[in-house]
Amino acid sequence: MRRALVAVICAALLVAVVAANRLIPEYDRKMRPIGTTGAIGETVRTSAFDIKVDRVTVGRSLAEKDGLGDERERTPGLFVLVWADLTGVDQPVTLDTAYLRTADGHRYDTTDAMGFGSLDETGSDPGLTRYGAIGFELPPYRLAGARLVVAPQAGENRLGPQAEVDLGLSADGARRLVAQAPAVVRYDQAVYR
Amino acid sequence: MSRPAGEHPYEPYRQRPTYLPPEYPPPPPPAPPRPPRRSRRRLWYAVALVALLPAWLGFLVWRAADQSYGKDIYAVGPVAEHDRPIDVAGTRWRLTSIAEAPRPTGSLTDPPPRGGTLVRAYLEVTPATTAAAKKIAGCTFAARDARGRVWDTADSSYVEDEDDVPDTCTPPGYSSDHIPAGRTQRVGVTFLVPADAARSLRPMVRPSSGTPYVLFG
Repeated sequence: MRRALVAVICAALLVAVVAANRLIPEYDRKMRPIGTTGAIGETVRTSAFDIKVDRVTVGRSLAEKDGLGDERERTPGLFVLVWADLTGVDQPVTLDTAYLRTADGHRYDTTDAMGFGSLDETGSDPGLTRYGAIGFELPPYRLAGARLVVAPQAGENRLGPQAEVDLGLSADGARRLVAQAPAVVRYDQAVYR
Repeated sequence: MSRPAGEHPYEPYRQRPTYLPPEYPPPPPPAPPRPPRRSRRRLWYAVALVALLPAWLGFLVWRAADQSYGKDIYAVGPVAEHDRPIDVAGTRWRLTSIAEAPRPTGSLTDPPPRGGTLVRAYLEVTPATTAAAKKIAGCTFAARDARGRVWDTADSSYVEDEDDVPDTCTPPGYSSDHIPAGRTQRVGVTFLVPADAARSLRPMVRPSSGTPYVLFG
């Protein structure tokens, strides 16, 4: 009787071990960045940087404010500029990872149309705040519900800091923004405040 | 000659009349050693488990931390006392001065942003050999304050280059050459930092990629 009980317990433990092993998360999930979420107008604080998005501008083409001539970058979709304050915490920081995550789960990385001077590339330093735009291109119908995701390290940002900011673009708000979009949206180089 | 039982002086006392009271019986023979009880063995297993579990969890945390973001790319190695030279990577380094820089007045330079201060440091760099001079040709400078915050050198737009002192470990000008062995070169680097960091700022240099920074006091 006692031996049978021990055998049953051992079998149950074996099953539990197998089940527990299946519960171990995959490497990418286990080591994914430690995200901090917030909304437009709020300062989102991470261990490496603070970011505060204050506005979103859109346009059918893109130009640098003080650029020479009338050079414009064009897109079949929409240029979306996310304007933000960025401050490093204890080291210089650049946002090597920056993308928009749409409501339906698509990811749009930063546009190549923006020259040097975008906030993600310029970055910032501890105690000094830089203000500038991060640019994206995406189809207008994917604007509603988009969230900005930024992190200081590209590729494998294992257990690193990451900020996710809800841009506050409701369906109506996004529609209005697109409808009122100017032909050209202009950006400045990121500058210290 | 034999004596009757009980009268022999070495006869066990209990076999003959004794004056000892009955409450002091003779000690029992020593018991044979018993095998450790099962419950005691289980206790040791439990103790081992309790000790190993935190050790295993610690290992997992250490491994995760080792693989994670935040490995300090500004890690500090050797520390030099203020004004004292230090020999690292076959080169002698010496901090000669560090002070707040005057506000740039030139039309080609930007003023520091509100709340920011420019700090300029001068160092002397003397490679002992040609190999050392080549090794340090790609040196990089940074600065650290008392709170452990780190800044790279300021953008060139903030630097008023009046004294023509190079800001690299290569000879002045646009030469890609190295400093001649044994020659001391002066290097000047500027940092843009918040005003509250200026007073405790300490420059540091990474002689070559992959090495820790040398921190100057």
